[in-house]
Amino acid sequence: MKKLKIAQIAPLWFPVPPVKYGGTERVIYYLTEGLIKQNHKITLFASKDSKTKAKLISVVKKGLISQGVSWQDWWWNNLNYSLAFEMSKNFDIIHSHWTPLGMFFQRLVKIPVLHTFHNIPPKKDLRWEVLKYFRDSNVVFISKKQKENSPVRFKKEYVVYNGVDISFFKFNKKPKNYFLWVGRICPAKGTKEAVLIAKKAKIELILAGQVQPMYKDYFNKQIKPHLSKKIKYVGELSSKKLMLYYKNAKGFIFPPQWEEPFGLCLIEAMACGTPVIAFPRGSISEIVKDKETGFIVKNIEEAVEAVKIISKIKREDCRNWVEKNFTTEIMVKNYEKIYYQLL
Amino acid sequence: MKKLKIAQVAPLWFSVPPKKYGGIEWVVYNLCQGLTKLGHKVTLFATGDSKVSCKLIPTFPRSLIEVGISWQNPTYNLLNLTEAYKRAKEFDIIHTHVDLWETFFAPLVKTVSLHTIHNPLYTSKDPKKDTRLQILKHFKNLNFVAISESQKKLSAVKLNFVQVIYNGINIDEFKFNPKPKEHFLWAARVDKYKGIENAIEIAKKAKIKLILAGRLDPAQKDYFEKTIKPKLSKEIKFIGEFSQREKSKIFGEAKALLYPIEWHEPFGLNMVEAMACGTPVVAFKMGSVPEVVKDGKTGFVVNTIDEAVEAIKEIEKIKREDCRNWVEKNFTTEIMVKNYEKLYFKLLKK
Repeated sequence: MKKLKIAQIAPLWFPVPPVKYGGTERVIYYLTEGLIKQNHKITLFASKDSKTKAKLISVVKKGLISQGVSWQDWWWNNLNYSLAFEMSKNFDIIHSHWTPLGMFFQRLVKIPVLHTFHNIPPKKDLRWEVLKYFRDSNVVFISKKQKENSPVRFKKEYVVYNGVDISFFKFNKKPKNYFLWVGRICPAKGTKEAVLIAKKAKIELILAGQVQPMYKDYFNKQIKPHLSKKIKYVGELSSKKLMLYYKNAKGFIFPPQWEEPFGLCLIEAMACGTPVIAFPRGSISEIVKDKETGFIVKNIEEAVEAVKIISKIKREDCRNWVEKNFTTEIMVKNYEKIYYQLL
Repeated sequence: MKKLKIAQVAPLWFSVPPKKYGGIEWVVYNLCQGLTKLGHKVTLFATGDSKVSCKLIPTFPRSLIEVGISWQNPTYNLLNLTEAYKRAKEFDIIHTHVDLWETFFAPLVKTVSLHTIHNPLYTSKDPKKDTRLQILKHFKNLNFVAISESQKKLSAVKLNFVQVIYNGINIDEFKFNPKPKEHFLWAARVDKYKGIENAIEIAKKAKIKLILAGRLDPAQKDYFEKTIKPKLSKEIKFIGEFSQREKSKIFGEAKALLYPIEWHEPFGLNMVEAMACGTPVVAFKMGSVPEVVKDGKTGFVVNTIDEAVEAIKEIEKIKREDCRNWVEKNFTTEIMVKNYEKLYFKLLKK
């Protein structure tokens, strides 16, 4: 098959790959590097501190968050998009990763444009009203549930699961005695619920992740008072350090309070052999195989019960499950198929 | 001369023309009507409640501000731009009035774009930290129109200003009033930088009657309640926002318009509207003021509150006919339209 010239447009909040937090940017990194391995020619539009084998085009020197730019400030991202679309003659296809920005430009170019919805707005958000104008778009959802939750239907819809670099996440048969929670510290990700589960089950729990300024109050009031010898907060970690925490955890606790669109941390944990105890919100039941790679539980009480029988889950099964469903290679193959279809 | 197919892209904050406040929308309205009169085929991209004699493509049914969409939310204005630009081939020229957002689209099409910047381009802070200015700089080679020499001169970024074209008003809508009442007027959006506090202080010192008129944004309510309201009295009254129909009466009845602004106004449509009614303007020497007001002839350009008080004493020396004439010769829709028409042809020749 013909090798393709592909533009990947990343949001500019974090570099690709991100140093610490930044799920979307991490997935874009895996996708870009994976496509290059398949000999496609990739141009990545991302911040200049990105590290990639693709041709990198940058309108900003550093990720916007590290420069103190507000999430509400779209303009640098807009410039990034404008530039990519201006160069459309150099590409066979444009793959956009920040909704809905790419849609404003897609009608002005002759090549197909694909949008991956890494995050979808809540149901009544104004952005859906705008998305209605773009029903003729080609959209990738990152889970079946996310697709189901979309109040707007698009001309072409696909589901492609995120993948992780399985060689980076090392399998570990013999974990230590703690459980792990990873994510942005905020109500949606269920930080407080994870703490309550740990307290009731009397287990050790490690919390890792970023406290964004707007959730400082939540952290100080709802989380900090519970911290102890058994429940520790280790801050935001680099990928390498985080991998060690995943690897050595007895189980991964994930009680989201929102419609999780995918849950990258779940496959990262399972890739290391660590089973998952999770609430069935959003994509969870697609990502975790109940009773085989962890337990899907309805509430805190059920989670406490699940903690007690966590050793019934074979850590090899977790690893195998990821190898069969959520690797970079599988994700890249799926996207490749869509690119050819659109052409 | 050849007749042109012209797209005009307005911001969606207010309808074209606006029901009340909305300076940019007024200018776009006058431009559309004027170009249509000259036989050009104009297509306006604006809100559905706009009323124009040219073709209207409505992206959103109503004024965004009326339905409560915040100034910070760019999505609908981007949508309006994409609607215009995806039809680029249907036009000889695309003329946009939406500020920064339009620049992202212009490089993607072959049709010539022209961008009138209606907002100030200066900043009192470090321009390197101003996202809008930095991004405009990125697009500096596009075709920009400034609405005053001062706006162009004060611009913190060097843009390709192809011309300065003053805004024009539809002078028939502003009745000349040779015999004003006894009061003075301040008219603008309620905001400190529009000089409302200075106007009050001038009125108190000069012992004159003053009417304050203008839109009170929800964000300014607190400021109004705390700072302005306590200063109101029998002599100093606030009458709120007024419609276009009331405008001529309100401006015409004033002895003079006080405009002691604290920022560099890029143009100042209300000064022109006041003068069209024959009402002289006493304004601070900021931004476009010395260009719009002919000092000593159509009003007084002053530097301080005390100078403004002195000017008020001299206000009878200004002939109201001179104010009207000045506008007729410089700031009418016809003049603005002619200037833009000439510029369109010039850009298309390139």
